[in-house]
Amino acid sequence: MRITGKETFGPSRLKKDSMKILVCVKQVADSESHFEISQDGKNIVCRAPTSYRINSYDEYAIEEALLAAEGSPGSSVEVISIGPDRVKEALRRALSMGAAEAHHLLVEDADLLTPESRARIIADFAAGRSYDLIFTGVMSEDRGGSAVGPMTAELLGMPLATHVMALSIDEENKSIQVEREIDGTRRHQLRLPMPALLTVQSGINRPRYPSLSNVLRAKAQEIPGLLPGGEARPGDFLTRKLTLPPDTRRGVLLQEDSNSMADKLLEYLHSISIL
Amino acid sequence: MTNSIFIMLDHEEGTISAHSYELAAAARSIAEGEGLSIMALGAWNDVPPESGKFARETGVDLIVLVNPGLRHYSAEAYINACAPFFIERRPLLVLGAHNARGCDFAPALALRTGLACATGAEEIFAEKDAFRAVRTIWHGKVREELTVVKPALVTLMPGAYSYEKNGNIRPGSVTAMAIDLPPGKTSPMPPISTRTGEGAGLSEAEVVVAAGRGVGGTDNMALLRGLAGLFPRSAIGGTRGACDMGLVSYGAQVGMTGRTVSPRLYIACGISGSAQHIAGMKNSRHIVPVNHDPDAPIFRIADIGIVDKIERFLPIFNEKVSGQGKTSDEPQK
Ligand SMILES: Cc1cc2nc3c(=O)[nH]c(=O)nc-3n(C[C@H](O)[C@H](O)[C@H](O)COP(=O)(O)OP(=O)(O)OC[C@H]3O[C@@H](n4cnc5c(N)ncnc54)[C@H](O)[C@@H]3O)c2cc1C
Ligand SMILES: Nc1ncnc2c1ncn2[C@@H]1O[C@H](COP(=O)(O)O)[C@@H](O)[C@H]1O
Repeated sequence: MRITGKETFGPSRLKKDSMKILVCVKQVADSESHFEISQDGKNIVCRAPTSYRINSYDEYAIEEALLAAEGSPGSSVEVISIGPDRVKEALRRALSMGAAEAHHLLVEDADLLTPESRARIIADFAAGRSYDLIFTGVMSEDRGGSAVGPMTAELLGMPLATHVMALSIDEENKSIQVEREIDGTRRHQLRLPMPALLTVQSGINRPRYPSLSNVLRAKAQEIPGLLPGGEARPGDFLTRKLTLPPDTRRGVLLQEDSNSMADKLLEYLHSISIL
Repeated sequence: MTNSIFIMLDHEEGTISAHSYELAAAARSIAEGEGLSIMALGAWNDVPPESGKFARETGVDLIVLVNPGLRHYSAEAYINACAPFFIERRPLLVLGAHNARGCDFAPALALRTGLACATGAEEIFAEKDAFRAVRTIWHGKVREELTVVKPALVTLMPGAYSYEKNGNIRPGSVTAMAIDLPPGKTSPMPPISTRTGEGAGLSEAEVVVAAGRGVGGTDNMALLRGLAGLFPRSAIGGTRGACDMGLVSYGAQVGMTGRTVSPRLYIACGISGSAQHIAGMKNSRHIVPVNHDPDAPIFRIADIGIVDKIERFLPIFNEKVSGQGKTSDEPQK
């Protein structure tokens, strides 16, 4: 049975040389929090600052990067995030999970950037910094299009695998073997030379909780705001408006005591001859 | 920019997917009244076996780029094969499947060929200078309308368009085109099967009881099994979130990257209703969510919605039904 990278390839993440790894991290509004659509209809706005957290797919990406780095001593994991000042919190979370360095690219209205613009900013930053591996999440949970990772790979000329569910690094050959998800029962298998870019699917690992020592280190660490480079073609993909989705069925919503709801559901199932 | 729409034939190792037919349906809906031509592009080491059937039934002319290097899928080889073709043909619109293959190659292919790129659309319309695409984002809570400048590449969610066979259509042709492929860095290998068989009963089940993250833990799964046990032909499925938590196996995942089900009754327990999940179950005849958050998007497609906690509602409901003595099957423990 294959569940995660570890099960598939055994515990041998043994490598010789050190690696430089970059993880792209997005801060997203928590979908369980109270939100509004902005006046111009283009943004999701949460009033409470605690409504923002790290994109959950990126936590899997960070964990995978940390596991890879732990397998080859001397390796380091860096994280990058594009966004307003509040995204420093997401970067600090990544540092407290064990990343060594954080880069904040300051863009106030980052949610309005196209995936291509975000990819250009990341690629511009990463070019010439000789990363062996770049990880992104498979998708950003807020308005994700699963596009920033693949576009970044294209801009950097790196081989790419998305929806990665298992990964083994062969440091000597400077290559990696991945399994990427096709559906619940099938996976593609690929071998890629490094440097490469991988987008990580949920369930590949169990993201760790921050350790106390890392939390303390992360608190003290400076995260300077950098100005982004990397010009995009302007406006080939624009949010026109955000709305609440329409009800496609006019069903009934029951909000009463459990006992009477159970009666009504039972009655309904009788009426459609299921029970 | 020409007046053509190209659909990217979606095939896994030569097996053409249902999604390919949906793309043809979407292309038709856009082409209508706009005077646009529709073609399909595939890329493999051979012409996929069912290509003739696809072209005949959809009426779309299919071109298959052929090179031995395309035997097993990799983004690199696929993009290297298709990009020169599109740079030469300059399509107005390319439609791809938003699945494990389409998500993998589409954004980079768009970038390389100078197409604007929008992913995961559920509807697409042609306007004067742009396309209007609609998609559901943020765990199903928000609908986003996008302007996508022409020419563009757009990937469509599985199930977004439905294909209906039309007997009167002029059959399309199939053309194989041998191409050169530059040596790639990626070495693709044959795909592997994981957990075959698990969740296989889902497609035949009359009643699907599906678990989401809101089920909370394996203890509460007994309540869902008890519920499923009340119906003679039932099966248990789940969201990806539930699979990641180990509540159900990945083979029983319902949705965009899992199974597509359309039972008579779908009971969604602790499921928010993300676009990726809805894609796999929206054609169920009757949909009954149980979720304690009245704003959960899953309620928007409900026939009857129960706003309650799983651990409170299910014991009462299960007890009521089994107390009736109406069922032959005992709830499993
Ligand atoms: C490339 C890709 C492919 C994907 N493919 C799929 C796919 O095939 N299938 C799929 O399902 N997902 C898929 N996803 C994931 C999808 O985006 C969502 O993350 C997932 O569907 C959410 O699952 P959920 O509804 O169980 O969890 P959540 O979104 O976390 O929702 C949990 C719900 O439970 C409710 N709840 C909490 N506690 C209780 C309680 N005690 N009682 C009752 N209700 C409670 C909450 O109100 C909430 O609405 C995919 C994602 C990506 C990026
Ligand atoms: N603003 C951002 N800053 C850093 N990384 C990002 C940003 N947006 C997206 N990413 C990365 O790209 C992945 C896919 O995002 P998306 O294309 O928006 O679905 C995310 O999981 C992140 O790893």
